[in-house]
Amino acid sequence: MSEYNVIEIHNLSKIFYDFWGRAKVRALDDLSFHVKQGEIFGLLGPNGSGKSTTIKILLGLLFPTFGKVSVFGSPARNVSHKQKIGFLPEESYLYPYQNAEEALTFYGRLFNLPHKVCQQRVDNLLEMVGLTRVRKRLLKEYSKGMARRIGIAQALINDPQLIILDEPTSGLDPIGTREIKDVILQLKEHGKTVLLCSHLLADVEDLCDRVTILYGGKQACEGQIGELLSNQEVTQVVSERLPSDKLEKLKDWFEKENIALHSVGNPTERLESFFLKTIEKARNEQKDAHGADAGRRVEGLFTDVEKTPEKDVGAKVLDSLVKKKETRESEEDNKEESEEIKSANQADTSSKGSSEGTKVIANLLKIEKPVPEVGKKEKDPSEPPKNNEVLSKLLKKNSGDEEENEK
Amino acid sequence: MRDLTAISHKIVQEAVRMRTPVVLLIFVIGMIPLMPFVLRDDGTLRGQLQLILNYSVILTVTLLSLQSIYLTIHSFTGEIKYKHFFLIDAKPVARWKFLVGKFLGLAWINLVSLTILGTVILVALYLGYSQGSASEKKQIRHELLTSYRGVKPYFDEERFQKLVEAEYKSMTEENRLAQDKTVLQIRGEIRLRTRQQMNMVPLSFQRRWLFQGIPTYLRKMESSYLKLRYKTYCSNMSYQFQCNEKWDIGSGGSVYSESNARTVNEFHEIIIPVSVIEDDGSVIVAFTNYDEAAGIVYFPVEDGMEVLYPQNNFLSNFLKAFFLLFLVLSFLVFLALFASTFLTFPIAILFVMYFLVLGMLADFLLEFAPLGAEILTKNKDTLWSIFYQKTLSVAFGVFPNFSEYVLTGHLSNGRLIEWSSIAKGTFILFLFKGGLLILFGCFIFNRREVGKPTL
Ligand SMILES: Nc1ncnc2c1ncn2[C@@H]1O[C@H](COP(=O)(O)OP(=O)(O)OP(=O)(O)O)[C@@H](O)[C@H]1O
Ligand SMILES: [Mg+2]
Repeated sequence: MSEYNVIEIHNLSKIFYDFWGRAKVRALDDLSFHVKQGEIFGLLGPNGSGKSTTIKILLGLLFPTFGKVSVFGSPARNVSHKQKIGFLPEESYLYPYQNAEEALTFYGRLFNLPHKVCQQRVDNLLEMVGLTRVRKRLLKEYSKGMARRIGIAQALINDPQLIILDEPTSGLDPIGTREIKDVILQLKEHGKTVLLCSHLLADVEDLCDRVTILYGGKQACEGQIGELLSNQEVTQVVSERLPSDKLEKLKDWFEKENIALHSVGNPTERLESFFLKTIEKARNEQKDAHGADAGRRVEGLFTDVEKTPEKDVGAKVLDSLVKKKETRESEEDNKEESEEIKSANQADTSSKGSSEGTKVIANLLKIEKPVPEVGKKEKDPSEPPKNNEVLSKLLKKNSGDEEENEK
Repeated sequence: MRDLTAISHKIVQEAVRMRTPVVLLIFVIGMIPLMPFVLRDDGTLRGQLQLILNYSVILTVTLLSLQSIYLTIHSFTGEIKYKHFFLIDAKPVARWKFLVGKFLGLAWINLVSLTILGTVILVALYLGYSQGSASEKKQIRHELLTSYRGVKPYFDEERFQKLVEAEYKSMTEENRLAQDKTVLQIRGEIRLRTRQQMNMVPLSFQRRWLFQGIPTYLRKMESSYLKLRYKTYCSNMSYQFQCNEKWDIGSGGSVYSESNARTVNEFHEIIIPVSVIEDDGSVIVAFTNYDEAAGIVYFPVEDGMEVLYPQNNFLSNFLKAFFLLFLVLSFLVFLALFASTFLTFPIAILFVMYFLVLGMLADFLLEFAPLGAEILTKNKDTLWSIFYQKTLSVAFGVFPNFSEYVLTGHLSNGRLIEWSSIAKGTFILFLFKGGLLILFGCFIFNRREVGKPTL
């Protein structure tokens, strides 16, 4: 991760005025943060906290009222640096009268991609998001999640250096969500910078290196996810598995030294509770959220979940993911490890590893030299697999059914 | 360049998927075979074909205007309203390219529509023509499927000035100047009166006009002939009064003479043999008023007498007319793009329609607005009257007068469309006015926060 800041935001404020020029909403209030090259940065916050507004300002769709915004070192409205940006908006905003292939080709042409390169990328991206079989269907006939996948594909068509994703997983099924998360991680492996905006804390926790949490247009907190979630009150010692007699000895030692022993498990706090705490604190500090107010918290709505002794299945999955993620961070190059993560995540799939997924992206991003004869289904064992086969298998089952139905 | 073509291609795709051009083509094409049974004119095949030509061209330009306006505004405001534009603006596409791309797409749609409809109209005309008898065909060839250029009579500006000055002087000396009028107004009135007098023929008088610049090579072309086109008024105001007229055209050995009774207040055409053309390309036309019942005969100053001579074939005239239609449609697209940069769908439509109607009625308005100005500003050079006149002249400079460019009359009367009209259309309407609109449009659109929701 380099120290070069891809995005820099200084004291950004955005005020919406009404017809008569009176300030109506202060959507952003003195916001400052930066995104370093090669990191995945999370923008969090409750509904109406100004996440999408920030993104729109970054893309020049809205203009800042005060403050300075720079992307790749130039002002946000600079046209040429958009060559390096991929953007997925809150909703897909695709043209209903185009089919998937036409839509992707259209966006590719907006980047002035040479025809062959564009065709190749369209093919690869369609395969990546699992919509090859329905590429000729009009987008108005797409389901929400399918349209979302096209939205994701169009955000990657230019092999962007910076990818801005506004709630990328909204509307996606769990498999799709998992796939997108993999894609994001793979993008990071390729040195891309990602600005991710999401409510889905599990997603953010899985993916982000750093986060900033907005509340009412103000920054409630910012930092490394590891730091934010690490608990300063306790000390964690990680060792190889201790046999029970040794464990007893250890406990005795704690007792002797008069040190309270809380648990022997993992002390990491979960992002969800951290998020709720932060918001609660921010709410108490700033009584008036300048119009951009989040919904009131219904007492017990979330806390119930936290207090439930039996964690639900989703929480368990999250826990396991978090654990695995840590392992991954510590040993990034270790291939075997990452394969293990993969199989843990995709418990029900066979042993195909995630390296294939990486290869898909690698393949996708390195298509300047077009692969001859795309249409040929011939399998060349030396050629890297075109897709994350694990994921596509799952998807193909899905869209294959649809194809059958169509016939 | 690919980004530009992508945007223009996309709007064509949008239009085609919305099926507007197809529906429109069906409408116009469906209308044409109906017309010969519905329309009635003077009963001749020429009259029938003239009407078909007139109506189908007017139908074409009206429907295509509406289509251009609708497609442009629907597509543009839709992009903003449904936020499709977010994805375009996030790409390295300057906003002016978006406007220009849209224009190119619509220009393409208009070009294709005009080509198809033009072909259909030509085929319909030809089918009608081929059914005529030999004499009907001849008439159609000479009056409809041709193009004539008109020459106005020679006007002695110097003599005219002298007459005006003399009249003004005598009025001043005799103290006949109206007190409540400005000098300019008085002079204007004298000029008008003098011109009218110069075109007036009292009973048992003859007046002569000189027409110059008619090509002499026509004398060798046996089948061709000249036409004298004119209209008269007379002091007898009775309805459909027929005035006995005597015309002597030419001089020396080759004079073409004709006496006939013709209805006043209507245009007439006299066919003249080409032999009356003098060696220097001039033609002398003499009119004698011998109708006692008519009293004084006037030739109007506007819509004055003209000698017409054959110039070009019909097809090239037709192509020119359609090119001008294309320029008008392009202007409307520019206007619609401009309106869409800051207005929402219904308001932008109303805005452009307003200018469309003004542009269509410009002739009518031009005729009456000065009257209004005169009534309002009579005898007072107040601030208000000056302001009124200034705005009026600016408005008429700015509003495009579409009747200058929709030349259906030229087509159906076999009147040559001059290259000067094409040049005016290209440079003033398309490049200058259209260019200004698109420049302003880009300026506004560049400053627009498209991320704000619209209704
Ligand atoms: N054009 C506008 N005019 C007035 N207020 C606006 C406008 N756009 C956004 N806002 C307000 O700004 C605030 C921030 O909106 P924004 O869309 O950025 O929220 P968000 O964080 O993306 O929320 P969500 O999670 O629901 O997507 C909201 O209070 C919203 O009502
Ligand atoms: Mg949002």
